[in-house]
Amino acid sequence: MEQAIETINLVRVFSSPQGEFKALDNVSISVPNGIIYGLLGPNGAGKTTLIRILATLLLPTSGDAYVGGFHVVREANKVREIINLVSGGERPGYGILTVRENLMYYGQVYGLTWSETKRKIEELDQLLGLSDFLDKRLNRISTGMMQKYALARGLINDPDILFLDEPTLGLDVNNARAIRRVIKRLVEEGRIKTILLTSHYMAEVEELCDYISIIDQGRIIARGAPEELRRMIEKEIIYDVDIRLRDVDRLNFLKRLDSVIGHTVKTRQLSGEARIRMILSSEDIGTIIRRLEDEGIHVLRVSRSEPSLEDVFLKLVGKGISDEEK
Amino acid sequence: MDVVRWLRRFRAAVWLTWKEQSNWTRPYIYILYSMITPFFSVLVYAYIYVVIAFYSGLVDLSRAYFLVSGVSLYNFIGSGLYGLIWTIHSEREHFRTLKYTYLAFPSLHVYLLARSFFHFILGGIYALVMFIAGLLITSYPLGSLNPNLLEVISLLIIGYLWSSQLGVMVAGTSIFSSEYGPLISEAVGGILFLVGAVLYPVSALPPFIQPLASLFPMMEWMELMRHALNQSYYIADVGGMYMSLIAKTAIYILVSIVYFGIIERLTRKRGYLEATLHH
Repeated sequence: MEQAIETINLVRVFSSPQGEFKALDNVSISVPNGIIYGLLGPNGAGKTTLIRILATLLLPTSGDAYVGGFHVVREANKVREIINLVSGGERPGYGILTVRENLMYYGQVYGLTWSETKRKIEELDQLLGLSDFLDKRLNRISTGMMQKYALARGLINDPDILFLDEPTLGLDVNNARAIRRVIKRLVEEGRIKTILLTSHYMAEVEELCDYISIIDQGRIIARGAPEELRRMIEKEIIYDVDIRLRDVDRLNFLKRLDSVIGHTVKTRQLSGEARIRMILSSEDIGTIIRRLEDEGIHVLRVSRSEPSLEDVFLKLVGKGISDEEK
Repeated sequence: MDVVRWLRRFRAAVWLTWKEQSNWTRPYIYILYSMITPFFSVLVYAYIYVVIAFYSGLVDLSRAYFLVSGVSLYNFIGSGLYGLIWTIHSEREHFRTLKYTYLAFPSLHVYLLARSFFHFILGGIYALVMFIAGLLITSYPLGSLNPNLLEVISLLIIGYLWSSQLGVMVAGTSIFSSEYGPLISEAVGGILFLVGAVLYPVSALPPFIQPLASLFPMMEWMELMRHALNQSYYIADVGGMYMSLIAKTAIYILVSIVYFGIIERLTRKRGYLEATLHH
């Protein structure tokens, strides 16, 4: 079966007066047709760089990439005919025009007739629920509406392959859920053949993707179906330990313990608590708790947990996916 | 190549420029508003002529024609050029749409030509209105004009071809400098005004600047337009000037295609399509 997307030893180096930075380091992925493929990684891992190369916006430093069988450098025009791109956390568009006018414009730029574009907008309205703001100026709509518009623009040309770069970035829970529902429907109903989605939200990738590559510092460090990835940590033991927020600064010693493969801390400002998620190489949680108490840290609750993708990342990288953002 | 699809895309880009420019008000208010600057520009130059003629007693209608036609016709080139170069800046910095345009429109080069087309049309209208107004102010006998419409239209097309290709090259260069992009467009417009036989013949320029004039097709275009609008305007070698204009236009098109191709590749190499550097 021909792959929808294939990269072979893709390298991208950015140069600046401060030096060189390798954003992608020998990345090789194969994305079969008809699936939602997830690229999971923290900010700065290289996800967006990879999408920019695949969407022909950026040239690779070395290596090859094919989209729909076309080479992204040598056959960039053919690639652009079968793809579209939606990026989260942006507000691109002609703010002086209404949402409908923006979509009419893009439809015709993609070569559709006036009436074909009108029909397409009606169809997208059914799918995304645009009617409330179709005739509002783009610069007057909310972030959630903006992301629905961005998806509509991304679908206006019926692309075979859709690149979604952090599609729910900056959205509230309800809007993010609505966008995820639509993404799922797109593939289920056969509107889009293949989606390459990047995200640093574990739950999003876990919910949507058939296959996932985990990327960190420009390298693919693991890949597989979600259940395959979870199996990578089936031998490890995962515990959630709740402590008081004020004790978080005293957790550095955990890194020195052999039995702790990795840990991540999520703070909850409202309750004044923090949750340490730990991957342990043995069942001996008692020793860990004693060490915590020796450090003067009061343990509030301890519970055993089921492995998630976040734990896979934690095991592979030694830190949580969103630790850097904190 | 599907010509109908291309024309549809071209029309959409022209429509976008119209909406971008005029969406804040009613169309006739926009047209009136945007005519104010060029109108006062021709007014100033026409009055300079009137005042000089009045105080010196040297009334020379051929000079009035030279001055008014130059200032008026410059609007066609200036408006188109500025609109084209501004497109890159506004798409990338203001609307943040350049990368989506790049994905949607099969050729960024053609897209820029399409986006500038409206500015050239508008510039052409300004030129016509200013031309008539300027001649009236200077008491030039409009009845003595002897225009060749076919020649005028052909020259407008040729003017669009070379100046839009010049604009594409400048716009391409401006991708690498979002801060100075609009300044570059003004600088190029200024050079054309200086060396393009707009206010005075090229022979009036200092000798060391005159070679600069031969780099651009502006002088030939301006002189031939004067001739096309009034057949009695004297040009020593009309055929030779046409040859020179057509040759320069062809070179501009060729160089622009090659240059913009290189720029596009460099832009993708450096990732500048989506880089917002200023705002």
